[in-house]
Amino acid sequence: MHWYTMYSTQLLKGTFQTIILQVLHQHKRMYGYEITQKVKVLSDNEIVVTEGSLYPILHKMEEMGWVTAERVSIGNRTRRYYSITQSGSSSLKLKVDEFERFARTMKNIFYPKPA
Amino acid sequence: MRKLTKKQVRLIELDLTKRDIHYPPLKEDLLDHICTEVETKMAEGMKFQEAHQHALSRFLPNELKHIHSKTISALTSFSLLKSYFQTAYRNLLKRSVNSFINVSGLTVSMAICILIFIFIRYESSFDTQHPDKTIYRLTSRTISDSGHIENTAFTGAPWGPALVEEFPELLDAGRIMKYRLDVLVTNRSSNTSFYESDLIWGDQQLLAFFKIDLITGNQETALSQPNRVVISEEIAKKYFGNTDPMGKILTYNNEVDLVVSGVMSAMPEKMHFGADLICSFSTLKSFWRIIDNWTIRYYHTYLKVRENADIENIEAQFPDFFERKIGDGWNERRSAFLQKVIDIHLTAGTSNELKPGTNKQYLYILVSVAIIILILACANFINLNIARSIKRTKEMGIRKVMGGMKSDLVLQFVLESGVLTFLSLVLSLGLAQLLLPFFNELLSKELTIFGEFDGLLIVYVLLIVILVSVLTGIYSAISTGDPGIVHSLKGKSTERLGGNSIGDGLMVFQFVICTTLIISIGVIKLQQHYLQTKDLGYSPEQLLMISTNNVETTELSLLRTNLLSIPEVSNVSITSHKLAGDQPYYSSYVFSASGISGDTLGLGRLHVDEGFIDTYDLRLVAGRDYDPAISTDTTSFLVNEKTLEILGVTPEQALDMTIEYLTQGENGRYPRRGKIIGVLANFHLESMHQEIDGLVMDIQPPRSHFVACKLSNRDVNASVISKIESEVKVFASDMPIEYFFLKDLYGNLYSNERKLDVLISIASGVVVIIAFMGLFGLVSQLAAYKKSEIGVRKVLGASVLSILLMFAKKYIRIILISLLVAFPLSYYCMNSWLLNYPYRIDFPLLLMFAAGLLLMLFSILTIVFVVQKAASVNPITVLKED
Repeated sequence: MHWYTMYSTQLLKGTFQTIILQVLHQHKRMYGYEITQKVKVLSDNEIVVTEGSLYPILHKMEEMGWVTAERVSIGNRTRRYYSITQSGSSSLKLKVDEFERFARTMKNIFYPKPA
Repeated sequence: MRKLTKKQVRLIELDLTKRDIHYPPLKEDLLDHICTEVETKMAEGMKFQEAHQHALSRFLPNELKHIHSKTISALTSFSLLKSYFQTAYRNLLKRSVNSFINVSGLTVSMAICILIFIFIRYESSFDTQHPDKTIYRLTSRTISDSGHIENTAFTGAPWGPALVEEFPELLDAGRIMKYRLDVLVTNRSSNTSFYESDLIWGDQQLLAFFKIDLITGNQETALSQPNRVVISEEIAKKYFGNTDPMGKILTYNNEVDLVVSGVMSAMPEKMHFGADLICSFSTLKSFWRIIDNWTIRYYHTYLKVRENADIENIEAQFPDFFERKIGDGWNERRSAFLQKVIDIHLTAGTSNELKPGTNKQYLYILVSVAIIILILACANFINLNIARSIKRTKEMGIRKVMGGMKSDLVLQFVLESGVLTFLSLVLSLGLAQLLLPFFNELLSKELTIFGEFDGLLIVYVLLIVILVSVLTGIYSAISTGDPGIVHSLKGKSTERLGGNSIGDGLMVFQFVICTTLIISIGVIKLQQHYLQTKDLGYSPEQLLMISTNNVETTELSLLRTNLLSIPEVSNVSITSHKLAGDQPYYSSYVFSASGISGDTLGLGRLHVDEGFIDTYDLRLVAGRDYDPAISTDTTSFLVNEKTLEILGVTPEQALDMTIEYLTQGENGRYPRRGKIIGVLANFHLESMHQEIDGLVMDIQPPRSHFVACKLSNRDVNASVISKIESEVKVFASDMPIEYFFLKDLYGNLYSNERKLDVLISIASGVVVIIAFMGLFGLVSQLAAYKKSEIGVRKVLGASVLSILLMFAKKYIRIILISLLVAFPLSYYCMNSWLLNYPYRIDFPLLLMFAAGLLLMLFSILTIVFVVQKAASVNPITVLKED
């Protein structure tokens, strides 16, 4: 963990969906714990997706048809593997585009080009 | 990485259960999540306990619960429900054997209920196509000396029109006459003739009364004139091929020409009468000379009543009306009443119906059996569910202790039984469809399950599914979640079971039903057997009957002589009726003894010949048989004992009496008078449902319709039959010969009842099986609960036998209580059923006790089977588990 604090939840809230979709987009299928770990690694421990954020979003996205879950029995319990669907991928594209425009706009506001 | 053991996973799952995480997919996710975390920590060297603590400590006290509510609040209730159903389905698959037993019981019961439902739907929908509620049938009633009520659909031909004339409330009348034998119909131009069984004579009014729509022809006048006939399309094709039948001629019995005045489509099967040809009633006047006779009842009368008329008031005026019109022929034992047309099919015991009806009582029995089957199946379903959930009792206990919500537990149960019930329903529809061909063959019907769309059926079925699921779910949840919690945690639920009043009550109920049904079926069977084997008063054995309709009256005696010359034929008799289930003519007879004018009685009338007594093996009580050598015998009478009883005379007095009555001859009506020469012991002419009435017999060759040949050889072979046939053919020219054995005809008399008996027996068999499955389930459940008690007892030295006795005692008490209820119940029900029969068995008490004993025996065997298995397990194994 870095000496500075992690991003505030307030800031991240709107991006969790995009992050989870993106992670799923890069891998064939993942289970919940794996997703949290992956995000941790990718963000260099800057972003932590807690169970409290992850699962409500996953189940909502499953209902919307952006991801599908596959139940696999592993030993004494059942693991749910999530993977991204076609419509999930297109939503992801829209979200990434939107985020990039947003970032550009923010940059323009913070660092205005000299007139 | 080492995986967690089953026990460790269960422990973590319990944490989630405790925190009320019940949305199945989320529960799976979180369980996997925490397990993986624990496994990771353990791989780093932590002990399970420590890793478990660590994983949980990351969550704030209510955090997990919060995640749960956050997840489900974001989802629609539809996907929530869907997921609960999926989980229920998966749980059931996991316990497939148990689920199979559960489903199969319910499936079979539902299939039986569906079949019964479609049968009853069929039977109760007769005469619903012509919904005119103001049409009534006039039915006449006679009360016999013994108080037996006999209703007959026969009325006199002049009654209807005269009633309409006199009563302003009666708007119109329509009559039907149907000759009791098949009649010959000929198309002379093409020389085609057939015997028709469905030819009726009817008034024009019938077309409107019963919504008989003509395809061609004038709806208002087709039958209003004499010598008109309306035919079905099928008949049109049969006689006229593809040519237009309108205006063409059909000849009735080679004597009456009828002009085709209309073509109708086939009459619906579900009507109390059917007809292929309807000839105009007014035609009868020209050749059927008794049409004006008020006392001859041979016609069916329908009356259109003014709307909202007081039916009872009209009926009350009938006696006075008939006394005025008929006089002596009418007395206080007779009456007539108006019957709703829609009730005709399901009113049993009215004689001379145009189509055989169905006894409403049988339908009631069937409905009750269906309801009982369903209740028992549900009861079993519940019991087996409970037996299954014993395994989960510990979990339930913990949840209760932790203060877990009961509602989601109930929901889970309701959904699980809902899935099972629905599955059973789908399977039962398939099973019913599969059984339908056999069912139809059994009943000689062509019923369909899905033939007609039936909203009612769907509503009923859905109601059943919902009811069964909710009841089962709630009952299961209550019974596994009620006060014995702490005991269930310890695995000891004996106290609760000792007083499981719902279960015991259910079982008493099952046994009462079972016993009552077994006794009832036994009584029905015995009564049927009695009807089949009761002494008829004559011997129907070896009697070959041939119709003599086409033989000239003058040639009958020659035919008799020729038939007697066949070596295999020992006796021959020619009569007006066939003796199995036929309906005699009725006439008014004046009985008088030397000089004193005597009583007038309406009695049955049968025409016989000199060979009658010998051929049918009848018993002569007094007097003598006809003697061909005595010329006056052709006008003498034989009577049966019942006639003497009605007259109140001794056989000796009777032999002094003279009888006079009016009969129809070639030249109109003339009186016949003669002496009584013999008294015959009573014999059954009608079916056993009718009480034997007084009967007067005389010789009247023109009214001969059947010749009976008594065959001396026991094995009847085709050559004898063809010899007899060819003898008859000599006199009957080219007409087709119809023959049958009287014994077969007699056997067919009760075939309708036998079919229903079979149906009820099968359904009852299912009830008994289901009840025993229930007993099996309950005993298994108790044995499972008492596993440790059995173990302890065995360790302390109890024998298997003493353990058996311990179990048996409880159930024997239950069975004894059930028998105490079932005996009077079945006695009451079946005795009142028997009272419907004028000839019946006494209530078989022996059968009642035998049934009770049998049931007891079977129950004990079931208990022995289950408990013996539980008691022979090594006690150490059982006790270790605790």
